[in-house]
Amino acid sequence: MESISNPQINVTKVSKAYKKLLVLQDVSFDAYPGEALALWGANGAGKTTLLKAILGLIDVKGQILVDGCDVRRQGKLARSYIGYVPQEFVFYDMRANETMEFYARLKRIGEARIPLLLEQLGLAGHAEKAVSALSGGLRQRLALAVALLADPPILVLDEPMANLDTRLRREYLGLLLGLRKQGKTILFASHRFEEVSYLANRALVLEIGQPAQMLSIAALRERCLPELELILWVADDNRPAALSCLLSEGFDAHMNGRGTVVVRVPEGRKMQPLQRLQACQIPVLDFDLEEVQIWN
Amino acid sequence: MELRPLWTIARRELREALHNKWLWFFAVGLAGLGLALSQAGLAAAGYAGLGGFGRTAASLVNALLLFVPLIGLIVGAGAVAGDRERGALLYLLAQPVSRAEVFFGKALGAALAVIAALGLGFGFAGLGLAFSGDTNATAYLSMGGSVLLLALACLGLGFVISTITRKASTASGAALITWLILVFFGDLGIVGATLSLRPTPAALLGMLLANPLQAFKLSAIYNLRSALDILGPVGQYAVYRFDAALPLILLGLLLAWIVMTFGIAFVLFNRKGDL
Amino acid sequence: MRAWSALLLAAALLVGATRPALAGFARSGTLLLVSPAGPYTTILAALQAAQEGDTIQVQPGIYPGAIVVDKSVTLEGINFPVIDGGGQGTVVTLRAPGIVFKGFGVRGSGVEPDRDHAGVTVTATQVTVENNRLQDVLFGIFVADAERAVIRGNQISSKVEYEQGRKGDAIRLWYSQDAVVEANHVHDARDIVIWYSENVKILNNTIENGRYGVHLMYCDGARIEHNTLRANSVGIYVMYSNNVLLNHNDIRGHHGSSGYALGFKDADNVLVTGNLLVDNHAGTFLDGAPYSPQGYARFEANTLAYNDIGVLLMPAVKRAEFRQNTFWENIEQMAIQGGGQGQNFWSGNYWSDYSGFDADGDGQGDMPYHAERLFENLTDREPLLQALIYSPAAQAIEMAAAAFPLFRPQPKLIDDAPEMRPMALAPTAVAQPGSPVLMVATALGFLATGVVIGLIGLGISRPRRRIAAALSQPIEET
Repeated sequence: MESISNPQINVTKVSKAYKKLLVLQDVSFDAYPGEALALWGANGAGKTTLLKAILGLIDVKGQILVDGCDVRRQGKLARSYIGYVPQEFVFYDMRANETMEFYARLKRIGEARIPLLLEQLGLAGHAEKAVSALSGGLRQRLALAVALLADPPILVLDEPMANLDTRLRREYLGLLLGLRKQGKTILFASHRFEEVSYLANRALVLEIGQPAQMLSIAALRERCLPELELILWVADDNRPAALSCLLSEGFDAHMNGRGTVVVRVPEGRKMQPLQRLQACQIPVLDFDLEEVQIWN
Repeated sequence: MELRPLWTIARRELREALHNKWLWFFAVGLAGLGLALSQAGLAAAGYAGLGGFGRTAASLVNALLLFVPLIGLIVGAGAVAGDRERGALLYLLAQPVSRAEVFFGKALGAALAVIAALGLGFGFAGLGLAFSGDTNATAYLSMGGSVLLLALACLGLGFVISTITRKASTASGAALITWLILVFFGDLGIVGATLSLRPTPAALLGMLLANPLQAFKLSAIYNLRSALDILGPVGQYAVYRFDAALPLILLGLLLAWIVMTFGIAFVLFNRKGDL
Repeated sequence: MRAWSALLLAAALLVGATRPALAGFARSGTLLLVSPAGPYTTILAALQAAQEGDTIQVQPGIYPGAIVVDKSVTLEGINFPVIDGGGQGTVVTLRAPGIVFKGFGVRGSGVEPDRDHAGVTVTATQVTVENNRLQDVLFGIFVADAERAVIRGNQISSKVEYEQGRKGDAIRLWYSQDAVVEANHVHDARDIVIWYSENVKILNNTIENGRYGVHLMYCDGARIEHNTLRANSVGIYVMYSNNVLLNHNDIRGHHGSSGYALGFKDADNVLVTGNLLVDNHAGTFLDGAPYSPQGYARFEANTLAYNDIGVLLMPAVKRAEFRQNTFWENIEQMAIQGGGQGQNFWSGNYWSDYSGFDADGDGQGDMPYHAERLFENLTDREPLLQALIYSPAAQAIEMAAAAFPLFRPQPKLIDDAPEMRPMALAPTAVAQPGSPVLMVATALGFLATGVVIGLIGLGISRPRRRIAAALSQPIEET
């Protein structure tokens, strides 16, 4: 970890409760330049709340420093270090370049960077279009362009790719990875492992009623990825043998009503039940994979 | 609080409010009202030259009482709740701006939009009146001034509604209900109270002035007539009690409404609750 | 100078010596000259020297000290010499018959109302007080027990520092029959009070900013014509007086609870025609007129416009007659204090709120005019409710009454033959519209405000082109 420099974001013992529901519980972490930190958790687990707290928009217990500024006391200054991208870009009735100008003025920077950013993000041809006429992908790029207007050291993104299709998501991730490599600190909420593993080097796992946990990507893959159910089609008379063969090796297997054998395995071990059955000399006619959502 | 971001937000808010069709209905309605009034004056066969405050002028005051609060409330109610509902407020506050800048920027922008509509409406109506022989510019100017204060007071009330509601539709509904209360039900209540309780003129004056619309009405009539006899014992009591200070007191009341409503709305807006 | 004066004095004495003894109020007497340089340096000295019928001519200057005139002389001021009472008592007392007092400035009376401290007090018959300027006097001209007085062309104001009730009356007539009060200009005094004086004529006066414009009490046979009254507390109030004529008076701007342009209390045989009653609390207030069963109170061809109430009646008033009057845009055309319906006679009046039509073209509406407004009905009963007049709630009540006849009140009056057109106004009655320049400028100011704000609002897109130009090569979405 890039622990030589000071942390860009320093969160210490942050808690937040709405009425009696504890949403954040003693969350502490640091984020450093060049680091992308994923906030991982189900809806309602507090990802957005934590992001709002970092932006200084809600009061929380504990302390949050952004580039050394306490967001509670110097929220405005702290926010000037942050480029924020929401899940869906909420636009006013303006053209793309007017939108850029508007936020440039709010961020108190000149308009010189606007054409540059529009071009970098592939928006140059759409500058004159009303934002409402842009596609979802272009809008999210525009949101990123707005976030990058002041060339901030920190990007905070709240599920920025939730509404993009796979191709656009890859493209967007590429943009973000480039920014990370430029040394920006990226904090983003996500519930797609694909995004997290591509972009993040660490993940903060938020679960309702549980203390937050910082995990490496590998550990996250272990801990939190959805388990798979491997549905194995074997001949009728082989079924009990198949079941005992798997159970004897410690697999979580059972038979379901449709006459198949179902094995629950972690994501990385899909092959093993098949290999085991082969070892027991039970032929597998076919198999299906089903994801098991660990958050309901 | 810095002025530059405030002004940037105000201009954007103004631009959006100028796209509000209600606002233009209002401006056109106001201008049409003034023109109709000037035509009525022309048709008066010289009687308008007697220069009095008749039923027609009274119906102008009456129409203003209906129109102006509605536009203030509607523009105000739409200013915050809608943005909050669709997340635009969160996005705006995530920029390096303070809540005060956002709030007062929005307030300024909305106020400017209302002023623009009033200005255009009063401008066209004034031209019509000027060419039909009504040349009392001072009275017209101060009428415009008190209408402006009323509009801003109602705008402030709209902002209060807007900051405490979560949905744009709820805010609009609450604004309409508030309008009905201010315009009809409050006064009908006073009619009932007067018939049943027979209050003193002072008490009734107090009840009336709790409603900014009535403060405006008194101010407008005093401005046009330099007397409040038309309002019966209450009007006479008001003139007797406050004398020359009365117009200032009424304007002060309207100003107090503006300061109070925007103040309350800001305090509510400034709470760092959920967005 | 001295030589000239001596010469004049000699001439005057010569004339005086040769004239025959005068009987009555002959005006061909000696001319006595008063000026600061002589021959007489005080009016008093000249008065002592004068005999009945003499004329004392007073040159400009300030002559301190009150004077009492008890000879039938003519006192004539040249360019308004000032008689200054120095704040003591009455300034000029005229107590011989036939005195003519004209052309003086009179000021500085005492301030005790119960001693009637006045500018000019008249206590003899046939005295003329003409073209004087009275100011800083408690009472103006006080005529007591003096018949056939003529008060003409004077300008009168009271002590400016006093509030209205403490000021004295501009003109007070007391047991003085056959007086003529004509073409005086009275302002900032208390009342013109005429009590116990019969056959008085009050003509062409201008009366402003007082309390009672004209107050008649026990004055039968009065004629009040062509007066202009502005912004007094009450206009012309006639009490206990019969056979009164009120014609062609122009009365405006009387506000406050008793701001009646015309008021009548227990008066009979009253004829009121051609008056212009505009912008008052009430155009006409009737309480006991007509008073006796044989008496009448007739109102014809008057214009009642822009008053809070056109005609205000006490409930007991009956048989008052209103014909051919124009009721123009009074907030309430007619009200009966305390509510109810009157039993008075209305015919051929023009009502600006009449909504009928004239199909047969006879100039009169085909349907009677009914004064029936529910909210007015409520306010007549409970005047406090007037506070809500012209608020939308009041309109709503009115509309409800119109929609549901159940709530419609009994009409306060019915005019069977309402005129379709108002009377033509005399051109002099109408203020010439001022220059529209200021109004147009105001309107343009409003417009400019709207336009400028609009441009600011839309101007947010202003720098767009620069950026478009800076974009070298548009890149299409891939």
